[in-house]
Order: sequence, then C-alpha cells, then structure tokens
Amino acid sequence: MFLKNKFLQALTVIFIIHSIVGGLFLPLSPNIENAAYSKQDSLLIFNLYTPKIKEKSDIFLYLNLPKEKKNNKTYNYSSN
Amino acid sequence: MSFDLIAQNPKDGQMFYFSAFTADTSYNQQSWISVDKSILKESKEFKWSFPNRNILRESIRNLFFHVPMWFAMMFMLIYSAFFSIKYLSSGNILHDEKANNAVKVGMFFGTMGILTGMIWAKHTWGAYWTDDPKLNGAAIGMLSYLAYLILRNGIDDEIKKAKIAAVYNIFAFTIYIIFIYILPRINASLHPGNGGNPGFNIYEQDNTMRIFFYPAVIGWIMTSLWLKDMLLWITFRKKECLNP
Repeated sequence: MFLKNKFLQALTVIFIIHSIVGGLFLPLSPNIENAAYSKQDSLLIFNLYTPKIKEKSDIFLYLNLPKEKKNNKTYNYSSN
Repeated sequence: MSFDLIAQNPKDGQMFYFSAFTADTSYNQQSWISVDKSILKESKEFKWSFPNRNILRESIRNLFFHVPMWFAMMFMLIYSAFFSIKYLSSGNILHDEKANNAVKVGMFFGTMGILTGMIWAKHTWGAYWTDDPKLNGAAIGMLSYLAYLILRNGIDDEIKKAKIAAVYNIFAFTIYIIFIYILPRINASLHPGNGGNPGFNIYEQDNTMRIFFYPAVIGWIMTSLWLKDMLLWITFRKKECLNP
C-alpha cells in the first residue's frame, strides 16, 4: 500500500516533520520559577513576568517559619 | 525566611514550588518596582507554548516521541495478531508473512519506546529503570515477542513454522495486553495514566500539545506500515531469488 502510494508517503513525512519540529522547538510557557529565582526576588516582578497567571489564577504564598512555630501564615494573592 | 508558592493557572495547572521566594530585609519597595519592561513585552508575545510543569520541564517534549512509538508498536502487534488469526483460518502464507514482519516492526518501535522512556525516567524519576509494573511488564512482553522471532528461526518446515508461530503470536499478544494494560492499572505504578496517576491530558489545557501529538501518533503509525510493507517486499524478493 505504502510502496506505490506517493501521497501516503508525503503525508507521513509531513506528519513526522511537523511533530518533530514543533515538539522540539516550540517554547515552554513562561516559567514562574525563573521569576522566583531572579535576582530581584519580588512578587511584583513575578506577576508582571507571567501575564498568563495575571489574567486568571490564584497564587498562594506560604510563609515558612521555623518548625516550633506552627502557626504558618498564608498569603493569598488572587490576581483577578 | 522563605515562602512556598502554589500557583494555579490555566496553562500549567497547579504547581508547587518549595521555598520559591526568600525574603531579604535589604530589599525595599523601590527595588521591587524596578522591573525590566523588555521582559514583560517578550512574555506577552507568547502564543503557542507547552505547559511548564514541575519536574517535567523540557522533558515534556518526549511525549511526542515516547508515546507515539508505543502507539505504533501496539498498532503493529494488533495488526500481527489479526493476520495470525487470519492465517489459521485461511492457510494463506502471505498472512503469516504479514504477521511476522509486523512483529519485527513492532519490536523496533517497542525498543525505541523503551529507550525514549528510559531517558525520560532518568530525568523525572532519577533512574533509567525502576521496579515498576508498567516497565517490567513492557520488558516481559517484549521478551515474549523476541521468543516468537526465535521460535520462527528454529523451525525449517514453512507450513509447520507458520502454524506454530501464528498460535504463539496470539498467545504472546494476550500476555502483552495483560502485562502492559491490566497489571499496571491494578498495582501501584509511577507511570502516568496507571496506578491512579493522571495522564498527560490533564496538563494540557489549551490544546497546543494536541496539535503536535496527534500528527505524531498518525505519522509514526503510518511509518510503521511503510516499514512493514518494505520488509514484506524484501521477504518476497528474497524468496524469489532462492526459488526462481
């Protein structure tokens, strides 16, 4: 079936090239960790750097206190 | 003092970052608002992108290789089992050759699937191979098909070889399905989509991955058919040379 059908062969090659090129070269979505580890650690930068999160998301910040202080505080920043 | 961060966003789903922020008293409000505007502009131009998941990171691209390889392998094994049954009912040697070549191509894609999976496991689980029912099941299943190929080479009589191989092929296919799809779902497994773990479909919320994943599945399945046809052609040319 495949050996004589040039159309199927071309279609196969197109699908494979499409998936390889797209799969390897499309970027990942903006990484919030990049912002988190940027030298200017601040929530403001983080929010501006990730507009997709700014549009519609809930961000929770948990304050890590030493273990003896169990009343950890939670800061909830809803960007909506 | 540090902050853990849990972010829930439509692109990446829920993510947890341990100690994502550290507070430093040397920072003041003035330093907070000194944002490089060029970064903001660049990130707004993002249109097509893959989810940026914890642990997975860039290795998420392996989804377009590892999974389609297994789809292609499964397609070939189903094809092979179908033609083995057809051979037993018809006795046409062409059906046996189709089943044989489909197993060979299936094993090629299975090996590629295992290799890509091992690389992925190293980057996400920390080891190339773990004692996981899905991984061990895949290995046992592939060994049972390796036995099929060895069995064929051990019998000289064409008709006898075809009959025994066809029966064994149906047996191997049944074993394979049990080891790959049933046992990992009953037992605890690290593998996505097994043992209660979510599959990748829950990470994907804007269909960017599907645009590349589905063509990859179709493309590799078509490649497997193409390879199988080429092997079949070579097999018959060899037979013509031996029996002119």
